[in-house]
Amino acid sequence: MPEPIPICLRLYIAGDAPNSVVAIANLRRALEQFPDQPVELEVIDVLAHPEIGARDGVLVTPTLVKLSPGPERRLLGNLRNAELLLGALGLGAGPHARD
Amino acid sequence: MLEIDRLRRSNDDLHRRLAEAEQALFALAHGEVDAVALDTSTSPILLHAAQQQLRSSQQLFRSVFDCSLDAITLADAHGNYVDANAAATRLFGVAHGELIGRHYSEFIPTDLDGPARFHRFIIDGSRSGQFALRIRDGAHRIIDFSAVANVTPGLHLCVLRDITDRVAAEDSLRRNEALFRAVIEKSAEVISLTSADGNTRYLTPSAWRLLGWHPDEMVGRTLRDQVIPEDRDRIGSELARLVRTGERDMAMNLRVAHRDGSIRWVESTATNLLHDPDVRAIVGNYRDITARKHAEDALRASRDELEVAQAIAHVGSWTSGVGMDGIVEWSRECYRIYGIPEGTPITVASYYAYVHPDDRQRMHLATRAALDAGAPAEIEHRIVRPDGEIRHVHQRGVVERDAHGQAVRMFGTLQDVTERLATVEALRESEQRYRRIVENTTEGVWVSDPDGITIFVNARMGKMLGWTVEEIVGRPLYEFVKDSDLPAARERTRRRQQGLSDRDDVHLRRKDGTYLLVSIQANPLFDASGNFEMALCLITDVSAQRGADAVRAHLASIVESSDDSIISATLDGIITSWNLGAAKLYQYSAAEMMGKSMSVLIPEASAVGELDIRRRVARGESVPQYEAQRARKDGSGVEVAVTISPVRSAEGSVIGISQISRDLSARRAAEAAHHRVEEQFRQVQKMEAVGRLAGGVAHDFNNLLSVILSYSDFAIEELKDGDPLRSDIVQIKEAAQRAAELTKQLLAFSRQQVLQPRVVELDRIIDGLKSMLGRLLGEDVELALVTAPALGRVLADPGQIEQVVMNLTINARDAMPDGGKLSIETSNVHLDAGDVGGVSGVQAGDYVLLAVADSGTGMDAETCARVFEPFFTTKPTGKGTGLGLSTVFGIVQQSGGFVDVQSELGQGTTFRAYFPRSHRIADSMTGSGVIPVIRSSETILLVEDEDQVRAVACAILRRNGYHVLESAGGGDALLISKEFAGKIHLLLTDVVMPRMNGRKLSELLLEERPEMQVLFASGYTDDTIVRHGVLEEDVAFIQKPFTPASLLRKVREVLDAPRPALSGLTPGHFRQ
Repeated sequence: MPEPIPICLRLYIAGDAPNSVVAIANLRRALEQFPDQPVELEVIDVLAHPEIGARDGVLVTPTLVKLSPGPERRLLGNLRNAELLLGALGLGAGPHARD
Repeated sequence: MLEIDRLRRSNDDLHRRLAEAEQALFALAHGEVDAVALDTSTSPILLHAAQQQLRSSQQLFRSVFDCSLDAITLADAHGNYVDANAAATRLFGVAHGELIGRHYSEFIPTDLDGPARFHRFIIDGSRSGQFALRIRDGAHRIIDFSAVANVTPGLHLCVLRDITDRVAAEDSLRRNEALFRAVIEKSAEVISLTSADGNTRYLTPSAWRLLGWHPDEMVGRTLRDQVIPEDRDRIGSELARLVRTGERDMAMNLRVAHRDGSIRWVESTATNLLHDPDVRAIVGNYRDITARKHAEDALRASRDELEVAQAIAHVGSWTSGVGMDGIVEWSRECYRIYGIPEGTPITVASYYAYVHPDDRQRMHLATRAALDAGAPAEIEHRIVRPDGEIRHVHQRGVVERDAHGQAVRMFGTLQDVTERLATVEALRESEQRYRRIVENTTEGVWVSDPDGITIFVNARMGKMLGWTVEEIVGRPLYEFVKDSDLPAARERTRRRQQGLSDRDDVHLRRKDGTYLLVSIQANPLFDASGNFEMALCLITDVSAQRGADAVRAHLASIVESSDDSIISATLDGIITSWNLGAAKLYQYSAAEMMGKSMSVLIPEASAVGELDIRRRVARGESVPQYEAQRARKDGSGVEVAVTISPVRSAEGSVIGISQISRDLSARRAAEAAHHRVEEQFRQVQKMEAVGRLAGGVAHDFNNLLSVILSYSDFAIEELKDGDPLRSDIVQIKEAAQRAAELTKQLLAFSRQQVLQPRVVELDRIIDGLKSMLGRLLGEDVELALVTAPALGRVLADPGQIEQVVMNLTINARDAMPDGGKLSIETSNVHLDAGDVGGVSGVQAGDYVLLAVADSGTGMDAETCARVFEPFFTTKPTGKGTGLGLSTVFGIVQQSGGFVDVQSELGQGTTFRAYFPRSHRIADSMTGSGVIPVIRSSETILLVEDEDQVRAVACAILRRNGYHVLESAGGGDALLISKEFAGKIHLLLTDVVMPRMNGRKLSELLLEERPEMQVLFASGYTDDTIVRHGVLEEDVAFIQKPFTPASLLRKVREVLDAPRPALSGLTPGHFRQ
């Protein structure tokens, strides 16, 4: 089996604001289903680093950006919809979809 | 194409952006985002400030949230938890991180319609109530909750409180209340609550059952109305007193009117609880005791009657507590029996004081047993009355127990049995007197009822028959009577029923199956009204007197049937009795000899001596047993052992002579046979000794002969044909060869020779023997050799086969003293299972048959059967060893075959030896005396402890070009091998050497030089390389004495042998 290509993600949050906390929890839970899938996740608190949020044009937190593999995808909100999230990450509907 | 691709990509991109935009809109619309910057120009600082403001209000909220004892949760628009405080995580039993993102419906009962309720909640804006919260492991908690929808848009707040314990406590309380109510209302007792003013506040429904009314019918009536007027005022004043004095308890019996008009007795108690803040009433209890009142009256009446009855029957009754302190209550009669004033208080302890000291222990044990086992106690014991009189009482007691089986008290009866016991005692004494008489009489006593069933026998009777008394009683007398006596016995029974006594002899069956002759005196016994009640038989053992004749007859028959001759005679020797044994021994019948003189049997020679013996016996002397000759009727003599003794009258005077004689021929024959066996045994021992000696001598002999033969050969080889010395040396050589032959014979005779089996052809061996056989047989015997074409081969030692042929030939010659014909025939035979069926150790298969037939005297069957026995010979002493044919038998068997013999007197004898057929190619026969001319160059390590032998062997080998390394022993040989750098092709070693034998040496050397060949040399059997005298096939071996020719041939043969066979020669090949 070829080594899976790492997924590079960047999550923009606003401190411990409720939806930001929920978004981290949802993202973690979704990725736990794919223990073999390498993921590089950068979490950026726009309250601590507003300049990065401005640079990257992030208007809303939480925002999840999939940088690679392309095409780039953006998801807003607390990532409650797991199906949508995994679709955006290119991981399909669930663990069995890849078998 | 490119255009279309680009178009498709931008179309996909458009769709993706659309999807993202939709998702973003949805997230924004549903409050799933935290912060929104309205346009890109908003400076980060503003955003930051706005957030700070938000954060401070959040912090306030947060601390309230975190510190709350109630669980608080925040859920989003979909009902997914987005936050929860510590109390909530404790309540839900999950970590904070676990709870976030989960949907609230996971924690409510599955049967609640979640979505519908949630929808209504959003519309209503709030909801509160109770539900069962599902926590881990299927457990649940009861929750009081209050929820507010959209506290901030899209966020719903819920406060939850665990009321499980409170609900449980309330439940428990409610259940208890119901329980107590049920107990009170279902109770037969009536309970009332009355307030201080006398009004009834509560009355149990049972009140009306007590009075025979249905509760509905009592409407408008009070309990007090039913109390009869005489008691009603009493209640009123008593209650008033209770209220006035504040006293707590009061009890009184009152009468009430029942619906059926009867008056019922009611026991009532009242408890003043007016001061108890929880009750504030007087609690009344009422119980119907009418039945008990009546029972008490009845009991009182019956007790009076009982007292009278007890006095009449002298039976008292008692009850007693358990244990020494227990109170004993006695009826009046008990006091009378004990002679104690009525009403004296009695305890269990003081009761024991009246029991006779010797009976106290028994009494105590009986009581204990009754208490433990629950069975009624029954005991007779003595009591000592205060006035000193001793009386016997009979007591019977029963234990009363409570619901737990615990003994509460005992009660029972007491009866004075003193007078009755006195009568019983008198009867018993009389009965015992008679019983002793009956049991001690020497006669048997047998009593049977009118049906003939035994009702009594005495011990003596049992002993006579060997049965126990118990085994006889209950069975009919007839069962013990011998069948032949039964008709007479039945007839006598009839006569007895008519009142007649009689006496007769009867055989009774003993337990061991024998019969006892008894004389029975039978008497009928009649009861008071004259009916036949039983038969009394007095039985005497008369077997001794009646049996004397039988014993005499028995003895006579023993004498008669004895194999010994038993004769009685008068003092003058006139024969008065003659038994069968005598008739058999002396051939005279009893009729012939009765009245004749004993001297007829005595040969002339011993007549005087015998007469003297008879006279001594007649004088009453005893004569020891002696051996003598006797004459038979046919005139032959017979040797006998004689016991002669006087016959005395009852008074002791000698009135005759008895003579017992035993034929000694059988004993003599046995002695002779024994002697023969002993002789054979001695012979065997002798052979063994000779064999052992021969083995030792042969070893040295063979060494010497090897030297002589070898040097003779050398000399002959050196000398010219015409040299006068040559014939001398040839003489020496021939003498040595004869000596070697002699040694070989000696070894063969003592079975010490080494067998060297090889695949051989019988014909060739016989052919080689032809001239020698001719010389053996002489001119009077014609020799015919018949061989089959394509005769099979056998695996055997050729020398041994020669031995077989020679022995059979000599045997045949000796059977034909006057000449005849000897034919030796060989053929192939196949034996199937049927042919070999009965012969043990013989297997079906292909055999080569060697038949040797003569036309001699032949043998009878008896001789035939013993022909292979060692030391069995028909030849005159000194002519045969008795070993020839047994050697044949042994050799053929050793070779895996078998041998049989067929012979008839006057018809000649044929021996057939069967050897298993071998399908291997015949080994090359040796026999050529020519020394091989090929000169060799291999290296041989020669090990031989005998110097001369070693020298000659060395000379032979060197003359033929071999390089020889010499060694006188194993140790040297090992050293030589170690130092010698070249290849050693062959180890030629003696087997029997001091310190290290040849086998051991070969093992050690082969470890160093596995490619080396080994050749053993020996003069006789040695178990280190041969087993049971047979050499292993793949062990190379040369028999001593050797000649230069035989040694060189063998050495060449071993050196030229195919490598695998010899390189496989490892220590493992030597069988232990």
